[in-house]
Amino acid sequence: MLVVVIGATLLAFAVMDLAPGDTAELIAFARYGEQLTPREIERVRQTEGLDAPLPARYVRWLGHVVHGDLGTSLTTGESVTSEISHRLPATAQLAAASILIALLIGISAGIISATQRDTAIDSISRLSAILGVAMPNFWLALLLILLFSLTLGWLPSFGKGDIRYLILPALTLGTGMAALLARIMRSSLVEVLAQDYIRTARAKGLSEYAVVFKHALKNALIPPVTIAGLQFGRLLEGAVIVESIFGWPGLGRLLVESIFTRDFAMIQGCVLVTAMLLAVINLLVDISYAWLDPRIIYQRSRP
Amino acid sequence: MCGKCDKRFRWVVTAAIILATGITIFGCGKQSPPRQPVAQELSVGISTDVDNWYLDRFPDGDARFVWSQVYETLVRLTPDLKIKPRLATSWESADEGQTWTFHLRKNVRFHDGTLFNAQAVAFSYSPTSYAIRTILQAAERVETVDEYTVRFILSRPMALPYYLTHIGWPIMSPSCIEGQGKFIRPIGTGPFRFHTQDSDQQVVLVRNNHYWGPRPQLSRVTFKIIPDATARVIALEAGDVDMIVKVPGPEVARLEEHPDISVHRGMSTFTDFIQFNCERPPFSDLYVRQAVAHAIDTEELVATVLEDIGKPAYGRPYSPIMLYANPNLNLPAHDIDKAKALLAEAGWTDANGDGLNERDGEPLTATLLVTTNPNVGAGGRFISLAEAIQEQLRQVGIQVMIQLLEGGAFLNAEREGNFDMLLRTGHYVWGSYPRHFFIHHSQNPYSHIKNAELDRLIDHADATVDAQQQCDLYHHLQQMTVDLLPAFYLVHQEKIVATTARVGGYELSAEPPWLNLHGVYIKPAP
Repeated sequence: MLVVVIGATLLAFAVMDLAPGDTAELIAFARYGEQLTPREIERVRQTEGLDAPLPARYVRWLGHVVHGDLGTSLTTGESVTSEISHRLPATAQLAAASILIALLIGISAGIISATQRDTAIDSISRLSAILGVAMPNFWLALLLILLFSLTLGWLPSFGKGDIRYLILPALTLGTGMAALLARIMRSSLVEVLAQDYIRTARAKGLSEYAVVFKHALKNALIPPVTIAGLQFGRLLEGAVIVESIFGWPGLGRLLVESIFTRDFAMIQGCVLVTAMLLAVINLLVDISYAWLDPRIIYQRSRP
Repeated sequence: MCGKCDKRFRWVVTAAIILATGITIFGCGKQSPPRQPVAQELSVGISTDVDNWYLDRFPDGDARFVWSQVYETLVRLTPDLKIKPRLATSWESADEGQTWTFHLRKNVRFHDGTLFNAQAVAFSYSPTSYAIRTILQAAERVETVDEYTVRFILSRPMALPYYLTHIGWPIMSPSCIEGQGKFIRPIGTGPFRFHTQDSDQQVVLVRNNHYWGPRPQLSRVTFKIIPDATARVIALEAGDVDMIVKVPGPEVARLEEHPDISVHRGMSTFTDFIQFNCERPPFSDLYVRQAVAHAIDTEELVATVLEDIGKPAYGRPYSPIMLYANPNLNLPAHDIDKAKALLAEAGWTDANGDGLNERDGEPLTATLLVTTNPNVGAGGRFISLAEAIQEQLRQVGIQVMIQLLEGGAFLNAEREGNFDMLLRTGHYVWGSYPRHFFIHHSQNPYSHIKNAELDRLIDHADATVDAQQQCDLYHHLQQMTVDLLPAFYLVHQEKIVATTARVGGYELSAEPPWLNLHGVYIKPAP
């Protein structure tokens, strides 16, 4: 995990440095607007230590991080730690709700499709899954707002507040993932249902319900769970757009805004937190494998 | 038999529960008890949060709309962009603009009750303030003559009152900061005072009950942060906000048809322009620049690309609403044959008949830079403009390659002179003072022309205080820009604010930042 975090932050650091544009100029632009003078740009370069070589800057940043100090935003002067801790819960809430929606819709649609194979229900479900994967987030978001906020007036169109504010952004973000999960769940369950032990179970005279839910489901869940974990990264990616459209004060928006202004203290903070988050999620996915399939045992390999 | 009954019954109950929960959850949104009398509370959708409240930095993005409710300047601009007293009641310069004395309004109190006086002015223009560090570098010191008189000592003459209309460097109370100089909270003299801020969600202001002018009618103003322009429009239509700024052009026609929404449109001081790189071929040649000016049809740009939002500029650097806008400019007419003739004069002709001009076998190509940074460029609007210009220039045999670049890459290409043309907006302008031309001053890092005569005239106009002389100089500068073509001016922008029917008393003013909520009120429900 340490390797992941160091790798990710180092990469972000290097990429931001390699990206065209003078960081000092962009920061000065964000701070002082259009009335820039070359003197002011040089001042920013010196006070923010941008004149040091890249490795020196990275090591200095890492040193601060080890002491629990993420620094302050270069454009607004706010503490990076407090900004991130403000936004992280909002994004976490959104991501959790989206995954919940995705699992709920995706798994159940997959099960229905697999058990009702080649019926009309299956076709509808598969078609909507393709639509769901193909639909761009921002477009779906606007369609949902049009329907639920403007036409029906049921849900607020933007902002953060009680649970009603969460529904539309989570639905937008969850749909794509739900569609993907449904497809994977279907094919996985179809495959499992064709196996010998399922035939045995059926031969014992078990009800279809018991066959699917008690015997087949647990084995069929491994691929969707893997994908759900892997998709978490894409969820954060989608959060950037969804957060902007719904005015959701999350990490994605913060990261994008910081990239525009080359606020590398803030970018590094966001990357650090995101990398840690992804590492933890991957760990959780691994643990869930062991629960789903007891044959998978993690142990140190012996020479 | 009975088992099946049971099952069905369970289904019915489940469905009923789901339905009931749905109605409870969603139904809540619909019930809003009629308020009597109507609460004077306004919510405004803006695109960015207020990242900074203090004078050491610039109010970036839409922060200026919020600042202009909380803070005030010494001098203000009238809706037709003439200067007028605000916190200063009068001013004079004894020596043709090198020292300026301002007489301050008495009995004005800051939001925390402290008195507005000369010390507050000196504090607001102290060396930490970014105004003094950037645009007002010429201000050597600010002296407090007595309680209600301040004097600015400048290193060179300049028309200081114009500069002091900028909401980006307003008057703040010294009580904004604590002993060590750390900023605590925004304290101004404006009609509304700061209440709370939820980062990236909303900023709440409440009425300043001790405002020195007429009492503001609204008791509370909430600025909601909605970054996406389309989402902002929908929020207005859904009634989630009462007012939105910066309405996207393609939505205007639809909103104007809407029975419950009023659209306020007015000319702004911003003008989009193509800046030429006059330091390398092909645009180092004035004939080629002139050919572009004759080839571009700004009327068509406004009518077809911008859906009639904004006014064609025909090359005019000043929007007609601006002070000192020259009504008698000699402008390049849209004339394709003239453009081709000019190019031929410069040696560019279509020898091989492929529709594109060549000289010595080299085709006439040019890059057009467009930034994708939403804070600098105008986003999709700029891209559509660039594509239309590409087509118009192809008609006279110039092949344009559009380059879309992210903000940093754009600045980089610009600094290295690695471009032929770039699209810019009149970003470098505030009010009517000469910074509009300063973009073409060779000292400006973003200028791409070196012309000693232009520099001299810009400096001269900036140092001139007399109104008639200023007027003559700026008229002259406008014609000179049209003739010299460091840039070709395309479209005078419009600013667009939309409100719901319950908002009354709003008037769009030309005065930047044109969101004056002082006289706004909420109409009683019909």
